[in-house]
Amino acid sequence: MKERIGVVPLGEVPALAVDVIAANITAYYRLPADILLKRPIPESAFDEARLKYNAGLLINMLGTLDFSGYSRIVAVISRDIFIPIFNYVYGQAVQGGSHALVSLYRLNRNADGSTPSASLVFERAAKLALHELGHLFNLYHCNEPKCIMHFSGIIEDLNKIPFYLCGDCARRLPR
Amino acid sequence: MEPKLRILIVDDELIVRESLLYWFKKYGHEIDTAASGPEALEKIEQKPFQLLLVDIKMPGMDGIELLERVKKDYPETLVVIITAHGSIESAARAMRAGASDYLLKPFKPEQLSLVMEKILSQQKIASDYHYLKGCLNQITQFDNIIGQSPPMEKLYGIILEVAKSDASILITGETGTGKELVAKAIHAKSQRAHLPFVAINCGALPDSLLESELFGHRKGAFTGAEHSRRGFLEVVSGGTLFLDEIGDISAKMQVDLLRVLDDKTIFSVGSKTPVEVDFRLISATRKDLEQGIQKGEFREDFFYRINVIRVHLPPLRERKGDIPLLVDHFMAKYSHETTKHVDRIKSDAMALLTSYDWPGNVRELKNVVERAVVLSKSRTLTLDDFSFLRPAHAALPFEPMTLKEVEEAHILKVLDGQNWQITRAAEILGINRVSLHKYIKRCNWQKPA
Repeated sequence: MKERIGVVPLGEVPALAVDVIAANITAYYRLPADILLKRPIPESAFDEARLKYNAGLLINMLGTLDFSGYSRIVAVISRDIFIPIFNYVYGQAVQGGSHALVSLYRLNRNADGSTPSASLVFERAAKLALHELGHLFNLYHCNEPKCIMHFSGIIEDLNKIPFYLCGDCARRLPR
Repeated sequence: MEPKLRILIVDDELIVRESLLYWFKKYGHEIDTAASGPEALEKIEQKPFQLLLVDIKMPGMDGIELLERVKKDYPETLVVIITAHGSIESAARAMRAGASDYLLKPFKPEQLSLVMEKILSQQKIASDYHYLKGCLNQITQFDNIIGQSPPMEKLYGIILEVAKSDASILITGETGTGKELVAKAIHAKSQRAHLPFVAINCGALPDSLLESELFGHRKGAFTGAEHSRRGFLEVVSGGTLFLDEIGDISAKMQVDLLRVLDDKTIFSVGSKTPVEVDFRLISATRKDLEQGIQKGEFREDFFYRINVIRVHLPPLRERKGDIPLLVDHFMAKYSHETTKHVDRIKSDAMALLTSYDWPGNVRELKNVVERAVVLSKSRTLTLDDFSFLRPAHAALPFEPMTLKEVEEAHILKVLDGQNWQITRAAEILGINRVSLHKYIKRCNWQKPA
């Protein structure tokens, strides 16, 4: 199938954030990206003890939905997400898989507690989506700080990394 | 690019194993998982891992016990312990037991990232250590001769000393002790190092063929000689000629070689034209040539010509301290050749190898390790891999003898074996000649007629 990316809002998500993500996918990966219809958040993925959504379960749920015509799906959610070993994650993707998830929940707060500008929040969301999509293209975390595949443990790291892939990762990208 | 690790995740909870598996896959690491301590040990036995992430709380063998077992048998494997909030005490216990770090779950992604940075830097230190250890191994290897026991250190000194001269050398030692390796080392350290080293096994060739090999022949010199052929004595021109099993050559060949050594000229078979030759002779034998002279089987004048300098190689049983070093070397060699990853040996298996007497010396040890590596189904050689060595010991007959009787029987056996040559027998028994003479006198023994 020809590569075509679907961007899916899960629950209530700012429309502008989804637009920015789709536009950046097209700009940086040079692939068509369409915004798809909003899907409901399955409440079964909510963890009562942690008060967060299990990212693994959400990705599994995405796998059960019909996205025919799209080779990869990037879902966007406004809620906080986690995987069992971590307190939280910004995003999650199955290495070399078809479905990725990006959470906006922790993007609208700076490390010092201040509120970032809306444009910075959208910039962070776009970078996260580009990073997780990179995993779907089987790119690994990169040691180069000037690469979108560099791991961002804290929000400042996300601010520092660029939108683009380093030369090494760009060469590894499937044609 | 960041180095990739082989990581084993050990946790009884499937969801944790899967989470970590997916996380580490994003870094391109090679990941495997185990649901219990015993399963983890089984996997480590099969292939090496550089890092283990171990949950402390598991049914059966817990994380601490697994950590202790891993640190005992695979000390270079790094272990990170994962523990639940509130069990900081067990985390401290894990650190004391040799864990590289610990994580209190659930943790933040950047905490795992920091631990991994630390692990990678420890891994780099470990790989530098292995590189330096490799350099050290090269120091303990002398031109492919392996050993650092006192007899071998002495041998290395002798090799360097004798290599400087051009005198003929006779290397003695039991079969499989590495006589040809020593000859090659002497050649490599000599001024003739850039010239050929030609080795001939005299014991493997019939007399007529050996003559033709050494001296060459003219076309038509004998039936089948369809072309003229230069002999090794001529081909070696300026280099070193190594004659192995010199004790097996005929009396006629001894005379012919003696003449060559004196005149430095040869006549090829069927030719009357002398050809000048220049070579350094190194001979080797497993036989007692002095005894051969006494029996009239070996020429005394030839013996003195080839025995200008004597280099004796100790049998492996006299340098058992080198066995672990040799085993490591052969394991690495055959692992590489068979592309298997066999890099360990259980301590009881090593104890068996060091207690065995190795009548076939290093060659026998080499073959035994090769066989074990080829047949091994795991990365660790165990006692079972060497079970074929044990019947030899078990087959030893048991006789109810006193210690005194055993001592006398052994001394008599050595004396008979050495044809009652007191010096040689005393050397083997590890006592001086005077003591042996006194012992014989005390026992009223007589040399058999």
